[in-house]
Amino acid sequence: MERTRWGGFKGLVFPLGLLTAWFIFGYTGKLNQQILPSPGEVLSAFRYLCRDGLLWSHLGSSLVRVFGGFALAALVGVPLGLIMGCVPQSQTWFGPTLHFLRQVPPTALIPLFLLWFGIGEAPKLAVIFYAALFPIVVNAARGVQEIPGMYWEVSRALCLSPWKTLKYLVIPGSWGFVFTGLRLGMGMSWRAIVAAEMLASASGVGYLVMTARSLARVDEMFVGILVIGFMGILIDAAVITIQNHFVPSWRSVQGTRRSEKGGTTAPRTAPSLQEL
Amino acid sequence: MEQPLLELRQVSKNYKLEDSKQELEVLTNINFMVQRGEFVSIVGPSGCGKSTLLLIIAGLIAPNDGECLYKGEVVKKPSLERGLVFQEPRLLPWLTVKDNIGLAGEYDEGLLKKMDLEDFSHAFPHELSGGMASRVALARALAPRPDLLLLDEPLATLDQNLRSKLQGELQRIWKDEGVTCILVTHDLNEALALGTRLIVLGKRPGTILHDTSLQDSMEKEAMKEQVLTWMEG
Repeated sequence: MERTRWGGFKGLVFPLGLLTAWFIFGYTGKLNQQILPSPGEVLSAFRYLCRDGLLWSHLGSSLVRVFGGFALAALVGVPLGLIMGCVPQSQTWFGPTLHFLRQVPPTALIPLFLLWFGIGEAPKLAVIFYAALFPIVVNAARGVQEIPGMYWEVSRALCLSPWKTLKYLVIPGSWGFVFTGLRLGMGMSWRAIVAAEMLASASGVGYLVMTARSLARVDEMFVGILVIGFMGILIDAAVITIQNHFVPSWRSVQGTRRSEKGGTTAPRTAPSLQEL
Repeated sequence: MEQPLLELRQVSKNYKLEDSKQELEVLTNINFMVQRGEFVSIVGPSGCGKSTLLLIIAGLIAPNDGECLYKGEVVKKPSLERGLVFQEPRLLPWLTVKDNIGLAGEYDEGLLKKMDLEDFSHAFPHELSGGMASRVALARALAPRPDLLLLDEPLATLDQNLRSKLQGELQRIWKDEGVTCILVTHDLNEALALGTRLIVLGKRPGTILHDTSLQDSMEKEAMKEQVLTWMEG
């Protein structure tokens, strides 16, 4: 237990060290303010942007876009991935196309989406949709493929209807992978929207950073960058919380079995982010 | 003569070996009939195709040659009239005992009581002991009220005490529910203790070496040595 607690703190050592060095250099006046403002200046800029309401307005715009595009990607991606997982030939037919599209970063498509959808919200939603779709589809499909064959045999032996197979086998059996895909998709959405706003937008956190750059307000740029990072962490934590707390009966299957003999196979856990 | 519940006519089964063009012959020329109310025990050495035979009867795999007839009709797909209990309980880990049992049939409180599981209806499979999990798997197969119960070494993973207890329960179910049973096992004692008829399969490719009805315990005991010789030979 002690080791686990300490393990959590280990990750804070480096950023706290960096912050302390930043404070010391800022306090002693050894920083070039044109390149790196002191922590105090960044804090003042943060207070100003908060008081003014600018930060919240830009952050709100980004979040609305992210959740809108992500919801669309989840609505399309999860069923598509589950269907692909259930149909063994889908990998042969669609695998190469998916592999090609995964190599094209969302930012490379921004000019094309601007041409297709104009300069409103649509191209930004399209970028988020594209960014989030692939991790969601690929993980949902893999989740289905990873369901042990013996459970498929049980569903056949019990003559389960397609609906019952989906409800009692496919969805719960692949949920770990589906959630990993949603989590990755959300992270990709956030990164993509910030890039899209930097290139083609009049609002959003990405736009805030780009405006600060054109006005040579390095302190505001830092506020924007830090907000982007912290917001990403918060979104990730929110998805994990949903995963852990809103599916309690499914989560319980990850508990230790009382008996090895005759017990069912414990479900595999979702792959680590490094694996993906 | 009454129509048999099940009839296998010259059933053979081959498996294609992965990464090879060769085929593995698992069963060859299997012929037998099962009448309603029988408890047929099928014994044979490991790998002789006992489980494959059960999967063919269940309709989960098709034979390469011959046919399997259930109530006079060729078996082409699984049916709830033929309940199958696998070697491992294979309970869906994300469903409770109640939901696992109710997967295919109507959830029956009485069945849960009969199987001595009423206190565990809301438990998940990982919370059950091996014996309980086996009983849930049995209850799941019985829930749709099948006419034929196929048992693929359902007690093989349990210790001797639990095994004896569940053997008694199996016999009770067979008598009380009036269900016809086919038990596949490599344990001759279990086959003799439960069955009213014994089918002995030889080494791969499995063929029927002997098919006899078992009348009383004296006869069963007398057969033991003979069957062991067949199985080893």
